[in-house]
Amino acid sequence: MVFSSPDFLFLFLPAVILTYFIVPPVLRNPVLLLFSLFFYGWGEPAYIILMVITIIVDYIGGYFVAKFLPTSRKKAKIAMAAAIVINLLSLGFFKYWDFFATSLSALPFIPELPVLGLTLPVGISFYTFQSLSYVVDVYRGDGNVQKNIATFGTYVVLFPQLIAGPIVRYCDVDDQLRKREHRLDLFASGVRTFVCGLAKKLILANSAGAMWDSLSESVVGNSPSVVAAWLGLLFYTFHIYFDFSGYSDMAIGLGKMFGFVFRENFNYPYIADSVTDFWRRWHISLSVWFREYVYIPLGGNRKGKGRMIFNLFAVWFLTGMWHGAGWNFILWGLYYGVLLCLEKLVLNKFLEKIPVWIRRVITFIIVMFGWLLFASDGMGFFSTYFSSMFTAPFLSSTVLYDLVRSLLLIAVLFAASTPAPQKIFRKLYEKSWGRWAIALAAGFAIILSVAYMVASSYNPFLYFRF
Amino acid sequence: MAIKENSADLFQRQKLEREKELSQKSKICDLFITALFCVFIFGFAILHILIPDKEKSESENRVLEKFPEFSSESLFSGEYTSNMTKYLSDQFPFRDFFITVKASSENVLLRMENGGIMYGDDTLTARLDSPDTENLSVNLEAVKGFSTALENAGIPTVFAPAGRRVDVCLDDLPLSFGTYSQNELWSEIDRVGNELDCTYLNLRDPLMNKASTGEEVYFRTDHHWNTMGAYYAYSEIWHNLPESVTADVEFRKADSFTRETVTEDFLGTSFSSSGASWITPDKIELFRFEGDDTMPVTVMDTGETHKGLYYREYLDLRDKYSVFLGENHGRVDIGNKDRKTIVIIKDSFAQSVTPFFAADFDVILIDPRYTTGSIFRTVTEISPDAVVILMNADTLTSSAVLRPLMRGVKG
Repeated sequence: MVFSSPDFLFLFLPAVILTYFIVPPVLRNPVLLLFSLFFYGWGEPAYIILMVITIIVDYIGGYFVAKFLPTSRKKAKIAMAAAIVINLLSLGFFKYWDFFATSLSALPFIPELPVLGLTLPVGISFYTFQSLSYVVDVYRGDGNVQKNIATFGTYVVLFPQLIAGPIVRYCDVDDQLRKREHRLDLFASGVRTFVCGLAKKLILANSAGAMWDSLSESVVGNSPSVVAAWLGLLFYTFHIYFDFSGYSDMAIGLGKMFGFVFRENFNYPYIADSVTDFWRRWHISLSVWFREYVYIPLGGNRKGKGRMIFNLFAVWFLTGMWHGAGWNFILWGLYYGVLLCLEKLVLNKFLEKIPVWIRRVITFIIVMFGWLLFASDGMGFFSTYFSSMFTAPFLSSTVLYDLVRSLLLIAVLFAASTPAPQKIFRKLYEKSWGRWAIALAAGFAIILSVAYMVASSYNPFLYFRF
Repeated sequence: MAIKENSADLFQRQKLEREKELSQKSKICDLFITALFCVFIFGFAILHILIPDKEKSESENRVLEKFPEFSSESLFSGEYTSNMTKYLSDQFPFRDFFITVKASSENVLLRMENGGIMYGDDTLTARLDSPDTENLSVNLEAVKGFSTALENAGIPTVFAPAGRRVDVCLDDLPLSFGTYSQNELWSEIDRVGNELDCTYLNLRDPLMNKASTGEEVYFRTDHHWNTMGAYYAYSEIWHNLPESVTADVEFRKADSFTRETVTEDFLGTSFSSSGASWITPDKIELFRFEGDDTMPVTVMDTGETHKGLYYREYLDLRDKYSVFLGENHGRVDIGNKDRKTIVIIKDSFAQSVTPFFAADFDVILIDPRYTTGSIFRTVTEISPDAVVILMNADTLTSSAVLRPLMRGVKG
């Protein structure tokens, strides 16, 4: 089930809101658990079993870690390691088996491994990471063991962030699972956030995505042009941002409606003035996760420069891999790994001398090229597209028309990816009439979003492969 | 690592503080927005259940999804849930209103088109992308083989490809759209056409000239030419038929017909995808002559007969263009078999041109998309006085649609 679809908005959501607020408080977590399982099963009836097994494995893991921790740190560590290994094997198998099989088989001396054609369980990358964070947080003492398996299950399967994040670390919601406040202003704030995300996804992301689809088809097809290639990539850059940040907004908004406060996952990444800055603003929950559970355990930057570089590359290799079972993703991760190392070691001194707006433009272009790697369905696509950006004819049959008719849309996309709208919102919110204006704008936004949802058959979700 | 130890936490803390500040100020407003949201999602959920399902959408001209049947196979294959999503979307309350909202929004954003249909000044034109040259050459090859065989069999043939709205009504196109794609396509059609043994008649140019003077020769909401445009096509074809055919028949001028407006409510194919409910509907005119509603029309595929050239029952339905000789069939015979015969190898563009010819000739319509067997043999058996191949550029660029013309043709 996708947040931006009618089955979610007009069947599931009313049902869960109604049930949640009617039942006595003690039943609230179980309600969320059941509805979340239904939410997951709606899209993946077969893989519910895998989800349940993951919950059981990590619940048991947490139980044993907490049990052994006071007496034998070593036994606790083994319990934690066992849970980690099982989780990673499950993730590795369902997501990466075919990738391993085809890649390894290409090497000499290795026999042909069978390609299983498994469909990816939706959200496995997200919920596995969440579930792992529980066991590690219990071991480290950052979170209390959860004795109630239903409550623990609620944490793993909570539908707002189940299939597309933000990745919620156990220590961040431990308290909220046990006790949380349901305030009107929090619910209202959740509504505003949710509607904002809905509009970003249905109006901005889908419009940008449709343009990317048709332009990229022409670029690798029979009418490539430099303008189409750059324009298409620009649209993809906006598509992925509004799709993913819109989805995160909806997740955070939904969380607020049920009394949960999740971390923001995006902080206007496209105004970043360096690659380092970009990664403080994009998919923050993932960076935090890798920092906490991979980079720091490996030693971070505390074991000398050489080790730091190794750690960085390890983290970025894994970050790339996390995004997908393909070489283009790994290259994408390493692309950033290289750039970050360069910035850290060499470029930062030079960067400080360049005016901010130039740095932003350069960073934006670097990010665009990164997205080309990310979007490429195979390296053949990448090389064709990349070369078209420089060597194709400048224009082609209808690309001038597509450019002219997209100018206003592009302006809107740029404006919406800056903090400016949020600043205006804040100023308006100070005033009483401003708050009413915002409420009406939210009403208008939801009608417009639903219009885009109903009128288009085009409603993809990019991060669904994770 | 990319992140400083505390910056994400700092950002988070600041955000929470700001939100707490704001929350004190706005109780009524919060209640309003909460109520608005809940009323919206609950309201539409209830409306969806209460409002009975529609079978088809008049404005979109398609059948709407029904409530999906449950079975465990369809659940596990994902079919049930995706059909459910389609169903909920198709049967959404006030769907037409929302479609118009989206179309208006695209208009406001100066997107110039919606659903592949370009907005003009009260006109809608289907957008054209790069021409599919492969399909074009396959189809033109078939036309070449077919027409050569006919000419060799002594049957005079005219190949008369017609333009679509996007080829002809250039003033209605957005300025930046240009004419490059159309011209590229038509120069290829001209090139092959001029090499043919039969008579080649480009119907795009004359209609383009008429359109550029401001005359409406195509429907504003449909891809077909209107009756005036069909008349011009008749005129062009007539004047390119051999003497042997037109010798003892007089060319009928436009004012020799009585014009009858049969509807002012026609919303055509371009309208369906566009959502542009603000557009003025088209009117359909018939150019009447004596005997046109008693002339026998026989659908040879089914044996059905119809009295008269105009199927007025279609005027009450969505597809009003079918008032001209009904729908497309493999073979339709018109007339009493007592006059000279013209065979028209057609697509739907010929439907509105045929009545002009039917005034003075027996016409046999053959649509290669709906026939089986050898069209060439059928035509030689009929032994007509002339064959006209009349179809529009969409048919010529559609996948292998004209291959059937080559059945039974040697070489």
